[in-house]
Amino acid sequence: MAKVLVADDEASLRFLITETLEIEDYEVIEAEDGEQAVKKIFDEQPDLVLLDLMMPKLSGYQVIDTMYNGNLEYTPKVIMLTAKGQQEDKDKAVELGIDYYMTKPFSPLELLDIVERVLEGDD
Amino acid sequence: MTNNKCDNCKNIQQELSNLWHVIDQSPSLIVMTDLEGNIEYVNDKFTEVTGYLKEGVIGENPRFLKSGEMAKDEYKIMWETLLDGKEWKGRFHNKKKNGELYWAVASISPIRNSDNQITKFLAIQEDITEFERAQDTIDKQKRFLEKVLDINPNPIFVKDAEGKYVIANKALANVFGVTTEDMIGKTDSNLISSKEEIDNFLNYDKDVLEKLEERFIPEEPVTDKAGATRWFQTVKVPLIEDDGKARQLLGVATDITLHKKYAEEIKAKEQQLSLVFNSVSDAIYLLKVEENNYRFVMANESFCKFTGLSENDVINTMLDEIINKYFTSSIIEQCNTVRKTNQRLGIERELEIKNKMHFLETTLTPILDDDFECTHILVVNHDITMYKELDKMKSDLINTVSHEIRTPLASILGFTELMLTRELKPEKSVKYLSTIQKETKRLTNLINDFLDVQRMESGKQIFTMDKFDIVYVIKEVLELYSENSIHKFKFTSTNKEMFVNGDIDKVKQLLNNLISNAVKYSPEGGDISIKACYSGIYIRIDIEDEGIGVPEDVIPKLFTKFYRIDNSDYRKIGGTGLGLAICKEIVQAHNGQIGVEAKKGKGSIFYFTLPQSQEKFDSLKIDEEVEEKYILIVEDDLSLAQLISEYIFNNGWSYKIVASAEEALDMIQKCQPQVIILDIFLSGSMNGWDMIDKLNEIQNRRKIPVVISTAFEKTEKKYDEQMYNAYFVKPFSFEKMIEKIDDIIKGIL
Repeated sequence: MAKVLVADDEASLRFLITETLEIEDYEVIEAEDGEQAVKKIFDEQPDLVLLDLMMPKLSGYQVIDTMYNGNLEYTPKVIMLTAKGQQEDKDKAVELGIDYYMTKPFSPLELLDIVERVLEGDD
Repeated sequence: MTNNKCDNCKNIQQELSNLWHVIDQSPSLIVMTDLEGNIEYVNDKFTEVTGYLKEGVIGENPRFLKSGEMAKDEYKIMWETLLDGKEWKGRFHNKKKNGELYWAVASISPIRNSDNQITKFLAIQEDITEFERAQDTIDKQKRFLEKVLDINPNPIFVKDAEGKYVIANKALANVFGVTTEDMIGKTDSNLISSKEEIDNFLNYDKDVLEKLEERFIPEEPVTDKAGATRWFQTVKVPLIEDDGKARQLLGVATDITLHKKYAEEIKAKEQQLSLVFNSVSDAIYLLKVEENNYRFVMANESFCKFTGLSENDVINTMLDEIINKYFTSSIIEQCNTVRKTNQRLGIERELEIKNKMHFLETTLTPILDDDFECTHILVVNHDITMYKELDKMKSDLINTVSHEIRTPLASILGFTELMLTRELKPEKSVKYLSTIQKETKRLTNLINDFLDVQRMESGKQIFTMDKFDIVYVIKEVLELYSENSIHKFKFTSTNKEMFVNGDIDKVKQLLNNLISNAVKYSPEGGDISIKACYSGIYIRIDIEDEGIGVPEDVIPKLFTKFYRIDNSDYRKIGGTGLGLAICKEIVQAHNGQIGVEAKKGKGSIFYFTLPQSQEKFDSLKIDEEVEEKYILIVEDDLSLAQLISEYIFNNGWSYKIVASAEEALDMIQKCQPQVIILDIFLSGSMNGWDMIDKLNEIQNRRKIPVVISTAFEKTEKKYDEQMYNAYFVKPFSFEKMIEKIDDIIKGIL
């Protein structure tokens, strides 16, 4: 089963996303700030990163930047999950080449659906 | 002989002939009459002046010369004088043959024979018509001059060396409310009552006459007839005579009272305008348009404050010099545009001054002359940096609020959806539900914070002030946190009970906010120490943590609404940016102070002060359980007692404070103190000495050392040194008192 990294500084949200992903038996790993997220991307090479935008240490944007500019041998899929609902944030995220952008609050089941689609490369 | 006689006769005749010749040639008119007044002789001059021939007038009475212009009395007096044998002198206004009138001064004398009898009258007249005419002209000119002087609005005068007016025109006479005639011969002291004014005039007069120099007096006051002060500008000139001396001076004055009044009015207006100009918060300056540049003509205080330049730096300086030297701006181009178009220009621009960006709303207004040439440009800068910052704060707030609301909502909606759509084990349901509950509480807190800050800021929050024990309240609040294992809470207080005057719920909220901040911002755990101590009439609470601290540069903004430290270390820790703003509002409502002492990485100390309860001694109730060793402070001055207690406390001793001897005795009965610090004047019925007496009566155990603390010198002999161990007169050094107590406790004394 695909490995998914959940990067969010909010414990309750990580819990929610993990619980949701576990319905479909994804292997879930967690990161609670940007630095941890980068480290886990390099170390554990998840297939998909569910990335929060506003995180301590490194923001979601910075994580993507580090990921794309680092010596990463593969490119994980990225779904950005953020409470910032402004169009300019979405535009910026799309510009960076992420796979999907979701605004909090979101439907867990919809997220599950999108995770599946993104992993299948059908976006 | 005969010949001789004849010779003699001849000589006499010759002489007579010469005399007649002289008389005929005389420039005076000579008329000789007999006693009746009939003409016997007239000379040539007579004919020349009157036009009457000798032949025609001999035997005639000279009345044909009468012009009718002279009074009859004149003739009467003349005849009387002559018949009296005296010489008559007078003036005739006579008529020539051709009808012309002429003036003559005449001298008529009787001629007597050898018997001393009057036989003839000899009249010698001098034609003074020319002289009279000249006199007349002079008179006319004089009257003309007087007229000129009198219609002249400027006071004009001539004074002599004694200060008497020789000439004074109407304008001057009017000042004193007299006629010009009245002025003559008067001095300034006759006309003016102010000694100062008189002296002033006389000094100048003297100066002018002595130095023979013209003096210009720019302004001098004169009190006029109405008692009003009038101001004159005067020129005084010495009238130098042929001998080089000046005995008189000419003065011409100009009444400048109105001029001065207008000048003062203009000055006052100018001051008002300047006040307005300098009071406005907008930075304003006026530029004079020059060939290729702009020169500062005016700049107001706001401009100087804003740019940090002084008026001297700016005025008369060229715009580009200032711009290039002090800040970057495109103002010159904008001035060029205004100059070209003659149109007002409004722009919003950013200006960097002293490394800080300012947002300005700048209006450039051209000032045109009659030919529609732009001569000046008025530049008004309205600083909208604050609005911009406020605007940014608002949008930051919207982002924060958006984030802060969406995050808990995501959990709530997410878990709700999972629960609604999936079969869950009971323990999972509980876990989900408790998360939902937690996040709902978080949302509720956020909304409450919003409402609180809104209410407090609008002044709608009602604070119910009451006396309560802050020590108890802190303990109560701390109970909510004790479960958290990574933080160790410590609480110390100067006294077991410390009463403040305040709104207990709001103070709880305040403590909660600060303690939860301490917890939130020390994610690695550590000690959170809370201290309560007296500080003047306030009680100060310190909340110290070992967390990430506060960068020094953000401290000034920390208590600002919606401000959040722009750093992910802090971002990680959620918040609305309202907590400290609420704290500040609560403390301010209590007239207290709030602040922070912090260094990044070493934690921070947040502190606030609250006023002590005013019911001073009720607040210091004696604890039932008294510690074994303590120092008893008997003092009715609360602040002094607290000051002493702080020293005692810092020296590691316990203490109790009581205000009266009665309370002290009660206390001593329960538990004997190590030392008593005793004030002599106390609030109860007993004073300090009474208390010592009483103490000696009831003392059944060891004698308790007493340290007297009083405002009085040792004068009362009755109380010898046996009664106390030390005596301190206020104001005294607390350190010395502590030293003494230390010695007493150690048994040295």
